[in-house]
Amino acid sequence: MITPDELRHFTLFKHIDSATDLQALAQVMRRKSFAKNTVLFRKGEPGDAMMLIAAGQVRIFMNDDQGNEITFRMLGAGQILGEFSLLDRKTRSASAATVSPIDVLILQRADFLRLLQERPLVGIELMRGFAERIRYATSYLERLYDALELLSNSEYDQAIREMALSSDEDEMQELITTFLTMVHRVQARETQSLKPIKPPPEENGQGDAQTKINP
Amino acid sequence: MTALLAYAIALGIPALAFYLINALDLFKTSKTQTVVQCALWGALVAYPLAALINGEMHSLLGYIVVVNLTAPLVEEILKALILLYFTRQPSFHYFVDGAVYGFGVGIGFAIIENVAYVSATPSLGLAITRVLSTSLMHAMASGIVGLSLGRLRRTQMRILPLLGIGGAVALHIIYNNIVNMLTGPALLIAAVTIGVGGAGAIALQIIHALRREKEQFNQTLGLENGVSPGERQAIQQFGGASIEAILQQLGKTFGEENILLIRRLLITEANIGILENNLTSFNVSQRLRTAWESEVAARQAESRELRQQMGRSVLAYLSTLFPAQDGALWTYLEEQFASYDPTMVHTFDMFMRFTELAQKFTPEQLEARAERLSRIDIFRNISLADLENLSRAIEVAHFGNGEMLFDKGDQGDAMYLIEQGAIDVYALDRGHREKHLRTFGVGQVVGDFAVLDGEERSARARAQGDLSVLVLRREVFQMFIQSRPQVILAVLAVLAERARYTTRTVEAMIQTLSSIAQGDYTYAIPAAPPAEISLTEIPAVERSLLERELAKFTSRLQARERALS
Repeated sequence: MITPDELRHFTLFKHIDSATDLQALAQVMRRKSFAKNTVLFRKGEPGDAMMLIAAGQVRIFMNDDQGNEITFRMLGAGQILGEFSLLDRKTRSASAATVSPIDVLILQRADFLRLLQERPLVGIELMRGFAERIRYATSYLERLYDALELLSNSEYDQAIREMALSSDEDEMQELITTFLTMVHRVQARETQSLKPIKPPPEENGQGDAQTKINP
Repeated sequence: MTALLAYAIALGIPALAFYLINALDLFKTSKTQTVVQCALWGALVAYPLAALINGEMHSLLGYIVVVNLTAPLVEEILKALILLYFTRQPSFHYFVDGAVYGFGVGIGFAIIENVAYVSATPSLGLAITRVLSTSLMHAMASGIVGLSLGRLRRTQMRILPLLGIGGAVALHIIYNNIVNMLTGPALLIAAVTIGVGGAGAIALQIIHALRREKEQFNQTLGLENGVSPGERQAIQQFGGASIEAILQQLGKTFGEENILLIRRLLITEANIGILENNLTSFNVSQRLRTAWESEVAARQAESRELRQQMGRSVLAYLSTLFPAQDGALWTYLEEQFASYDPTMVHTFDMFMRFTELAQKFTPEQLEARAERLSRIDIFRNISLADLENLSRAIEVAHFGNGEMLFDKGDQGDAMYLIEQGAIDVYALDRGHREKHLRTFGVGQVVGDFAVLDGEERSARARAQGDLSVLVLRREVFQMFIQSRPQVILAVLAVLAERARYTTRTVEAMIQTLSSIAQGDYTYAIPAAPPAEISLTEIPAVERSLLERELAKFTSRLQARERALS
């Protein structure tokens, strides 16, 4: 039995405030458990279900050219897997496997479509949820853009000010923290050097800049 | 042989009648199980008890008094007891069920009585006469009682049960007296007439009761007693309390499961009405016309399916309450549904009818606009027919050079499609000075997300030069999609794709930034440019832009660090 209250923890559903709509959504979902180290889906597979993590941890990974698994994200309780594939019908863009035993709530595309026929409001509220998420991420990316522009001109303090905020969303918080760490490390590398800082060389356009990089 | 045939008729015909009542399933709300229980009561409890009491009465009062007076009284009361019980159960819904349960008791009683008579005198004639007359009379008499008890559930007329039992006893007494006076064909004709008359009385009662209910509902709806348009408006502003009241009343009659079906049926019928009105009153392209026609066909199929699930009694009842030809009632119902439960009902189309906004566009203009809308990213998956329908609500607006379309912090209430001129978008710094972010030109759209989420504007927009825009208001768009799940799904698909894109961008940025932190610059310059999706939400940030900025920064950084070492 899935309760409407359980669904309230997921930000994607936060605009659904009608109890009957949440109830209807809860009714078309199924609960499922997976053991530790189970592969939930692989990159390239068709995605026709969305999973809400109720408990446990999942890692998102890809395989590199040598076949090694590179984990690039961890997801935990309250986070959602496969919400994009459910709607845009594209194949999975990465693989997912459990790190610990997990409990998930599963919503199948067919069930979601049926629910949408009966309760279009659920769809409208999901729409708001997605729109908000896009706006939110875009606003942080804009700040990052501005901050990078400042960094290019060695305006470190201003760049830090531009990005030094906090976010309640894990991923945005990670972006901010990573950015700040990067700036501090780079700054430390430069200031630790005994030699005086020389001005950067003249910029000769984008293509030129790329040729200077020697990986 | 004759005796066997007599038994067969005496038992078989009433049993057949009993079977038919159930097989026809005329009254879906009544339960077969209950009808059987009623019949068993009539056969195994009411009849033996009546025989016992009649026997006692016989020795006390004599044959004539018993047959002509006390037996009818005793038998009708005994048969009514089980009806008193069942019509008080919470599962009892509908007054016609009372009549069905009554038939059950009467037939059960008559079967055993027939057997008793035939076993005393095994004659074929007796069997046929009884089946055609006495059995019918018993069924009808108890039917009247059941009906009156059933109706009591829906009215305050406390006298109804007395009238019911009184009527049944009277019918029974008249029958017995006439049967005792007559013989031969005259007896048969009289007996059958009384039986059929009883059936007719029941039919009249049902019709009368239905009419009464219709009056009650009309009073709740405010359709009768010469309600003025103003008063009707006032009722509507209560947010459909009255339609809700009707559904609640119907819920008592038919049960919750039937109410869900009734609600869906009424909404489906309302939408058929709205679409048919679209087809007759609007001049639109063949494409939109075909789309409307096929939706009407699909909804008619849906309506048929719902009707099949409902059972005939509920339907008969509904068609009395909401006759299809009563146009005024249906228009009213459409409005009612739209005002209290706007999802599912095509409120947008009703709005177009009332505002007469769409009348001024030619089909060609609408088609051209649909074409324009389909090039807006968030609309790209919506069918052209739907977009053409939506185009009917688009407004045209003009702004002079420098005029503000919206300010940062305004509620996002519309999106703008540029027809002529341009729109400048500005961020505001801490000193409220405008910092130019971007310019949008002809064919581009500004503020498209506002129609989805209505969030505050994140920047200021001003006209550059003489600006001419098509305006789609958020409230109109919301009204349009709320009854069209296919449109919601089409928009959701684009949004999911976009959300996927921003999420990937954020992930890529995190990865690149952390490698730069470790002094590894390989990630900062991508080998191949990523697939581009333009984010038209203002101000736009594209992944390629970000990556170019990162590349610029890293190349300078690397150069500096080389110079340092």
